[in-house]
Amino acid sequence: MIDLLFSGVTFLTIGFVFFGVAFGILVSAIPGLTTTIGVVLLLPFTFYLDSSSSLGMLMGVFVGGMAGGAIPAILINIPGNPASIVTNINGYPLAQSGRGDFALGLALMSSTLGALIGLVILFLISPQLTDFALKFGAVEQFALVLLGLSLVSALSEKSVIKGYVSMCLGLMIATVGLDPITAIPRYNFGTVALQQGISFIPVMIGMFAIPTILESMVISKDFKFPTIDKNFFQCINGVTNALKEIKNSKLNVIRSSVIGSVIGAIPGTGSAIAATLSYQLTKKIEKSDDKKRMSTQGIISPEAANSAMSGGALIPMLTLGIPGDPVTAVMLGALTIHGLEPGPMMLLSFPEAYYGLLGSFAISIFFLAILSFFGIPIFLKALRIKTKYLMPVIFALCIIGSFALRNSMLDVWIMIIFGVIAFYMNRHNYPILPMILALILGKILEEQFRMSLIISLGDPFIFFKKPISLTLLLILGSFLTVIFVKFIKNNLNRKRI
Amino acid sequence: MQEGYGAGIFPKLISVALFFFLMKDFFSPIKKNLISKDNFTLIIFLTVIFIPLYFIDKLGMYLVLGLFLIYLNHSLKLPALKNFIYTTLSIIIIHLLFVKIFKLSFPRIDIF
Repeated sequence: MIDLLFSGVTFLTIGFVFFGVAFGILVSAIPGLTTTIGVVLLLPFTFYLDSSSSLGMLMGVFVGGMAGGAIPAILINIPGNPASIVTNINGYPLAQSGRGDFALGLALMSSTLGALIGLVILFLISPQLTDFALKFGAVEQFALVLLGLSLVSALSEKSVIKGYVSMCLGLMIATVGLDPITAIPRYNFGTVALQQGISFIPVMIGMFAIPTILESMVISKDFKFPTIDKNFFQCINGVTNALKEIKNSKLNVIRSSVIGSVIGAIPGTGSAIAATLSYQLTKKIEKSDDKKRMSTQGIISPEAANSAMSGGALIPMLTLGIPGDPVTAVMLGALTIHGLEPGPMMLLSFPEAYYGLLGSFAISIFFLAILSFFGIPIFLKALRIKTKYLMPVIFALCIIGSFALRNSMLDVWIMIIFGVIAFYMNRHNYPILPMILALILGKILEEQFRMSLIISLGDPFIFFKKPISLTLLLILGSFLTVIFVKFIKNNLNRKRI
Repeated sequence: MQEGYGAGIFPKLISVALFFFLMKDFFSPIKKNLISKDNFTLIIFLTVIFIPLYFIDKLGMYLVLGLFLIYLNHSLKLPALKNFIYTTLSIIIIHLLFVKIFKLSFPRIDIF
C-alpha cells in the first residue's frame, strides 16, 4: 500500500511540493494573508501543470500554511491565520522570556507530528470517520459550534462574564450583512458595501496588530518585541530541546491530533475551532494552574490539532466530494479542473490521483519538518530588526493584507476601527479572542440554528431529540454549571473578606 | 413559523444574552480610569490615519501608505533622512511584492 502512495510522484512533483510548503509558510507568516489566499494565488498555475504536480503544490501550501501561522503568533503576538488563534497565548510570553527558538520548535515540530497523525488517520480510518461525519447534520453542527464558542469563554482568565460579553458582541457583528437563509439585509445602514458582512480577517488583523502598534508607537515608547540573541547552533539546540519536550508530551500530541482530525472531518467547522477545542481540553487535563507545564502544552496542543485538521478536512472532500474547509474547497476546484471527480467513487475510478494526493501530503510533512528545523534561526533573525523599523512595516502589511482580501478599502477601515476597539477592550480587561472566534463561527452557528428550526418546523426541542446534539449540549450544560458554581463561590468568598 | 422564526430570531436571542451578561458588568465600578494622555495620543493617531484614508481615491494607495510610514517613523524618532529612505524602500518593496508578484491593484493617484 505504501508503494501506491508514491507511485504517481515524480521529481517535478517533489519540487512543486517543496515550493508549496515554503510558499505556505511564507504566506501564513504574513498577518492577513491566510492559507486560503495562498492556495487561491497558486490555483491559476495549476492550469499549466499535470494533476500530480498541481495537487502536490496545493497540498504543500495547505500543510505549510497551517504551521506557518504560528510564527508571527509566537514572535510578534499576531496570529498569521485563524488556525493559530490560541498559539500566541503561551507562545508570545515564552518568546518574551528569550526562548523564542524553543517556542517555535514546539509549535512547528508539533505541527509536523500533528499533520503526520492526520495523514495516518486519513489513510487508515477515513471510511469510518466519513460515516461519523455524515451523522453531523445542521442540529449537531449547531451544538458543536455552540460548545466550542462557550468553551472559549473559559479562556478569559480574569472574568468569565467579560468573556461572554465579548463573545456576544462578536456574534452580533457576525449578523451584519445578508441573512444566510432568506438573504434579507441586516444592520447595513442602507449601504451596499456592508451587505457582504464584516469579514473576520481584517477584524482579526486589527484586533491583534493595532493595539500592539499603539502600545509601542503612541503610548509606551519603551515597548519592545522579544529579541533572541542566539547564533544558528544555539537556535538548533533550542529546537532539539523542544523535540525532547514533545517526546514527553506524546499523549497531548496524539489527543490533540485526533481532535483536530475529527473536527476537520466535519464539514464547515475549520482549523480555529479545532485548535481552540483541543487547547481547552489540554488546559483542563494539564491543570492550567501549573504555568510552566501549560506554557509548553498550550503551544503543542493547538498546533498539533490545526495541522491534523488538514488530514481530517481531506476525508469528506475525497470520499464524499464535500469540502471540510475553504482550502479543501479550492482544492476540490483544482481536482475538477483536471477532470477528477472527488466522491465515493474516487478511490475506485482514480486510485493514482487519490493515493498521489496522500503521497504529496506525506512529502509535504517531510519538507515541513526540514524547513521548520533549519528555518527557525532565520525566522528569529527577523526579530533582531529594531522595533522602530519593524512596526511601520507591520502597519503597512496590515493595511495591504486587509485591502487584499476583497480589494476593498472598507476592510481597511474595519481593521483600524476594530483595532481601536481592541485597544480599549485590553485596557478594561475584556478578552478579544472570544469576539474574534464568535465572528468566525457566528455565520455557521446562525445558519445551522435556522436550518434546524426550519427542519423541525419551528420546534426548538429538536436540539434535545438527536443523540449527538443532546450529548454535546449536556457537556455544555455541565461546563456552564461548573463555571456558575465557581462564580458564586468566588463572589461569596469576596464578600466574606 | 415554517421559516424558522425569520431573520430576526438570532440577533434577538444574542441581544437578550448580551443584555444579561452586560447587566452584571455594567453596574460594577470601573476600577481602571481612562488615561487622558492615551486618549489624546490616540486621537492624533486616528486623525493622521483617517484623513488620508478618507481621500484615498484621490491620493492613491502609495501616497497614503507613504504618509502613514513617514508619520509612524517620525513618531519613533527616526531622523528625517532615514525616515525618507525607509519609507521609499518600503513602498518599492510593497510594489514589487504585492503588485508585481501577487498582482494586486491599488487605488491610483487622481488629484490632477
